[in-house]
Amino acid sequence: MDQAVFRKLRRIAFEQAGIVLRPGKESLVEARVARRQRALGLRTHRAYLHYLEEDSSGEELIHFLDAISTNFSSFFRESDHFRHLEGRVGQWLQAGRSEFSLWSAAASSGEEAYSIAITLETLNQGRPFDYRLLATDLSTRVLEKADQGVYEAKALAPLSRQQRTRFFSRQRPSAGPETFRVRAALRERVAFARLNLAITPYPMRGPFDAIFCRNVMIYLDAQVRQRLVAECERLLNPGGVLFIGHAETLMGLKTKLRMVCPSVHEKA
Amino acid sequence: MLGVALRPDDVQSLRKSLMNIQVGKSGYVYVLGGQGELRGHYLVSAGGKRDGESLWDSQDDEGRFFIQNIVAKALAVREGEIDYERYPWKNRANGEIRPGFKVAAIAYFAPWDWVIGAGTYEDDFAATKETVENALLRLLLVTLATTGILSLLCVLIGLAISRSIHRGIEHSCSRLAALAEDVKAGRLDGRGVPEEVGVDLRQVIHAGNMIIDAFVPPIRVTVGYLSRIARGEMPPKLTEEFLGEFNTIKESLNQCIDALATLHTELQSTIQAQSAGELDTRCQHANLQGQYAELVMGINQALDSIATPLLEAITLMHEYAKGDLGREMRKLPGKQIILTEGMNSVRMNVKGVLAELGSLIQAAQAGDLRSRGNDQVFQGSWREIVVGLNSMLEPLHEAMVQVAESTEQVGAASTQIAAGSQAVSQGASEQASAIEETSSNLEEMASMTRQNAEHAQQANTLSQGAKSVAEKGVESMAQMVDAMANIRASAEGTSQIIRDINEISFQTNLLALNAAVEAARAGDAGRGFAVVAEEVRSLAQRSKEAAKRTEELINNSVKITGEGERIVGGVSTNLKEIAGSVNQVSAIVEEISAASQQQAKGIEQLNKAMAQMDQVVQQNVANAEESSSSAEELASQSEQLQGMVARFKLHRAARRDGGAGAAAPPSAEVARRAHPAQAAHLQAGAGQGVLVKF
Repeated sequence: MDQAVFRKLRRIAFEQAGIVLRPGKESLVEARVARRQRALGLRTHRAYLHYLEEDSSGEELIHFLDAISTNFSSFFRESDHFRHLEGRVGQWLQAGRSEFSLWSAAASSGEEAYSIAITLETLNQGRPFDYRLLATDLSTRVLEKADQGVYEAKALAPLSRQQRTRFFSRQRPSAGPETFRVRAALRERVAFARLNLAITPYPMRGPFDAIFCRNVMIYLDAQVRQRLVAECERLLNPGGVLFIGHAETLMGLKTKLRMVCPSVHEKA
Repeated sequence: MLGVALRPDDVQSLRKSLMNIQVGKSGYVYVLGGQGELRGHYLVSAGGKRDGESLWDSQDDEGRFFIQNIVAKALAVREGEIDYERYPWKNRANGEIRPGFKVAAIAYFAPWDWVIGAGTYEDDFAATKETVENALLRLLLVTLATTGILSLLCVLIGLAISRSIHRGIEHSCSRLAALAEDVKAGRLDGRGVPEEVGVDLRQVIHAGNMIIDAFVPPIRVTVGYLSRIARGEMPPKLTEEFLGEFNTIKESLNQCIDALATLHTELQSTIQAQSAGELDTRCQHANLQGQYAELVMGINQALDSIATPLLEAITLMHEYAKGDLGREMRKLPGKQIILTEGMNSVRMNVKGVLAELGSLIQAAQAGDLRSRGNDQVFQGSWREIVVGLNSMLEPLHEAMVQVAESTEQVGAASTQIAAGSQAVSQGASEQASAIEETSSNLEEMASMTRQNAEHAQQANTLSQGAKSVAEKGVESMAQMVDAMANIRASAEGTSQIIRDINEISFQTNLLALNAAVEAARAGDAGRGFAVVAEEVRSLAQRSKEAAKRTEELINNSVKITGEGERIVGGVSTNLKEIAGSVNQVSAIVEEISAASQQQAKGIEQLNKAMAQMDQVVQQNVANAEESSSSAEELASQSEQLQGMVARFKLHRAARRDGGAGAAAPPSAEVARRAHPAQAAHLQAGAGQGVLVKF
């Protein structure tokens, strides 16, 4: 890819979504943009850049950010976070609380949000409580998949047999591998919406008891990280927790959030 | 009309009689061809010896082409007249050396194209002129006799003469009767010889001869004309003057010629017009009468009966040619029914072939390549057309069958490829995302490790500082112990001073008591002194108390200092331990720092490897997606192709239905169709509604 085109696309990704594409990510950009080029029938990267810049509707920008954002997720990824959440919710229930609000900030194709929901539903068997779960992502493409809640059998490997039968229904597609769909009861628990984390303040009022914002900051520039963490801090309930990726850190950021254990931070 | 016939044997006998006629001493009669190929050829030669020989270029002694002259004169001579030709001639054949002139009497018998000549030497001519003329006349009478018409007249004349002449005159009568017999037998050349009868009756013979002579020219002319007409010639009109009944004959002949000419002209022009394709041209009969008119009308009717069906057929053919096969040929009478049948058969065949073709086209339009035309109902070339059509369809059908089969195979294969490459692409895409995320995480870790290394470095520096501070503390402690010892020593010195002060205050108190006693003894005078002694005593008391407190304090201080000395000893030991620990910490931190740096380098390398892998994987995913979408395109095109081919009905083994055509669209597509509203909230603007609820 032409360096000039790469730099311009990089700038757009950064300015619009705070996504940092370091030098060396040319292949990535090329591969991601190729999808859009194919969809639009544009032959060159330059032609695509021109199209993207000229599109005043902003629709192509969404598609571009869709394409450029990395969506990797799995059920119960970094399972200690879910155990931690389970413990926290248990404590809050002990303290007499019965309503919770949670946010999966980079929900990708929905695995994280559904894992949260499954964790809560499992807890909900004993003492009844209510919870609201928001799931956002920059990419509408993955959100559509998340909203559908259809996954291949291999994606469900981290789930127990019980979880699978309780929360998923087997589908029989006419072609391709066997798939499962999240049962409506669970799907209805999760509200999916597009949100660009680079644009602050966020329209939500909060407060949230738990925010999952994992493996997002790795893609973002320090300033955007700062704003993101500040917003999370603002939106968290006192005693609420922020989960970040295991490779991520709040070190060097201005925040009053206190590290409870690696990648888990609490608002005082 | 009277029959006109000249039998061939008559001609033969005539030729014989001609060739045997001798004219004078050396003359003879001959016949030359007048026109055409036989012009100037001997048709009849003396004694028949030179028949067929051409004399045309014969020259006389003076080099003139005398035969040509003879023929020219003969052709110019009027009907029934005689001309002459004189030419110098040496009869070499007879060995005669006598040069002399020959004379030839010439006549022309047009019906046969005969130039009849009778020639002899001039010397002989005078004697033979009459004979020659007679011979010629006889010849003409022979011809005339063939008509037979005069025989009747002659009989009548003969009867009239015989009745009018005296019965007694037997000989004359018999001569006249013989003449009549001659005439009756058609021999018009015969004449009575007056000298054979008595002088008185010679006039009778003469008269008989004259009667014959009077009849002969018109009859000959009439016969000549009739012969020509009979032979199909169209002679010019008679212009010679005839009288009375002869004139009527002449007029009738002329009318006949007119009628024939008109008929000829009409027929000729009609034939020409018909030949030129003017089928509606007919003979005009306004100028014709009676049988002629009927003949022409008959011809016209005949033409009608031929031309009308022909015109009908042409009109129909024209319609057929324009593609209008609606009408059929009416049924024609007689053998013309063949035309009707032929036309109708052509029409039926064309319609039949068209119907077959039409049904084939219709079937082909409906995609049915299986149907074939029925060739059994046609014959000949018609059948060949249908057979040809069928055989033309055969390879088409065969090709379509093959196309259909290939298309199915291609369809199945491309569906597999599409599914396979979709899976590959999806896998590659997931892998790429995983790698990208891992790569991003690694980067993050790398930066954290770098930070750790830096922090360890800082900690190392700090611990080094702490170590020196602790060491300084130990030193300060030692100094403090010295200072404490000094303090204790000073305190002990201070205790001595206090004891001195205590003693001074005891002495002072004693002195004050003494002074008070002395003042009391002094009475009033000592009263003021007594107050001072009291104050001094109280000061001494306060000094004693202060000294006592100071002593306590000093003692306490000495005690504390002793304790302090002990504590300082402990602190000093602790500090020494701290300094030792800090040393250890510093060493560990140094190790950590070194390890962190190494780690950072390692992760940096890992990171680089990851980045390279990332590039390759991203490239792969681009390629995989590209080929996946190409495969999808291929599959959809082959599906289209199958759809196109499926429209054709072909003779094939049982088809596998519901193949690629029923392939499900991607599930997201289905979902979008199923829940269009549900997907809407995922879009940028619509999402706000959901977000603000949280």
